[in-house]
Amino acid sequence: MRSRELLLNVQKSIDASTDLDSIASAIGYAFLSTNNSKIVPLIQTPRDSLQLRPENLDAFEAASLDPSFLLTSSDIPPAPAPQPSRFVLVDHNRLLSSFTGEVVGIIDHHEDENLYTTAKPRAIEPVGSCASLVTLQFRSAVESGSAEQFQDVAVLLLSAILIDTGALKPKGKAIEEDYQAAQLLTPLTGLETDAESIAGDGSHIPAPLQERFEALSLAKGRIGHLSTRDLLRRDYKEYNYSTGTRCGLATVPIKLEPWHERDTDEFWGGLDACMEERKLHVLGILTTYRSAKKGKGRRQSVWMVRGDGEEFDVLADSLFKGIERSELQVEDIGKLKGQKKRRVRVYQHKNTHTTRKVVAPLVQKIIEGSKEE
Amino acid sequence: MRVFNRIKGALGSLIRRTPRSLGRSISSSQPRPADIKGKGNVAAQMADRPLNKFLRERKDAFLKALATNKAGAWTVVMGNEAGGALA
Repeated sequence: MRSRELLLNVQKSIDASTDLDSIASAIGYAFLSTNNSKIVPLIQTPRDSLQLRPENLDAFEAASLDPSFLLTSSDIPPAPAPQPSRFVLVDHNRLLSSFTGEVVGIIDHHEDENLYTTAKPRAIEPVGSCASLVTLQFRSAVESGSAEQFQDVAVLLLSAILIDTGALKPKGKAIEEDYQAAQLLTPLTGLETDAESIAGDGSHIPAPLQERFEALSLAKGRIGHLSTRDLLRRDYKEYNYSTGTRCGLATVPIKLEPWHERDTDEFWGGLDACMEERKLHVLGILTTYRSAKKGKGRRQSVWMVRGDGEEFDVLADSLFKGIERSELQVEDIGKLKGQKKRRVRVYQHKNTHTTRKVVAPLVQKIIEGSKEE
Repeated sequence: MRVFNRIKGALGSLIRRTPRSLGRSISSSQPRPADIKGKGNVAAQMADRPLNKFLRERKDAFLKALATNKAGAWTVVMGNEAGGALA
């Protein structure tokens, strides 16, 4: 229930960049719907924001896909110009508030909000990657298709599955359906391996798939050149709480220190500008990276509270205390250079499973709870 | 005096060599006509691949239908705008 309440408060993140699973699923669904000539994938990313996720560009290249042929949100003239009105949703199951119309199909791996119950297909299952569900939905077409026809879409779908499941790592996000989808797609991709070499439990993943995953991971981390504004907006969500507090949460896949130290003025200027532009009271930045020595997953967070008056001092105090007492198991890193008088805390997370899925409901609970006290 | 002559000699040698060296490096970095033709062919081949062809044709047809208010019969497949999980 908590996540549904939160979901209702998610605002449109205007310039965010769609992840590979969403893109591959949308393209895969439309391409594999061979009996429908009036179906088109829409990439919900402005064209100039496609570069914010280099792993998407890497997957496009591997799939020989020319991004200029993609229909993006930049290509749809805004209302009052005519708007699309009939939708298949992939990788989510609630039509975004910026659209109105009929939802005729859903394929998703998030929590089912029990909407559009007459949609066909309506496949919502907690698999590792939505691209796996799309592949299985069109199983017969994939099984009977030729490599010549399906190679590029197979590479795209398989890339999404690999990146979302950490190369189908056992005991990770991948479940049976993800392995089945990978086994179906692999023979079409042209990778030098066969379906039989993929163990159904992930105990053996062939080297070409591992290499594809490594290439995607490497590309994903190639964002050090992006400005602070671009780093914040590439994977960003916004929440409006019942207290009237407006909070933005950005996930940034690089370590905080090199980002902050490359240009401290640009760093703080970027944070200030983001809060001003989005009219935020709270900005949370969740960094994820691998440790230099052992390559283990690490997480940090930066929290900034903005606003004039004592009420924002109270908000900052309760937020920081709430986070420090939470399951995030944080350790205060201390002040950052150039922080000045901003209300900021920077934490290292001992609990390394603290994704936005975990953090967003926690922040809501702290902020809404503090008002009730 | 000997040092001056050495410097003068070295400078003279550099001045004599530079234009040719530079010219060679610039010309070698430019695509040759054959390369340009090759790239054009590759681009054409890319555009004709089934997925690219599908994306290009559907995009053009849908935008045309939308502009003329005839997109009612079209189905738009779309993912989550920022990807990942919403909550």
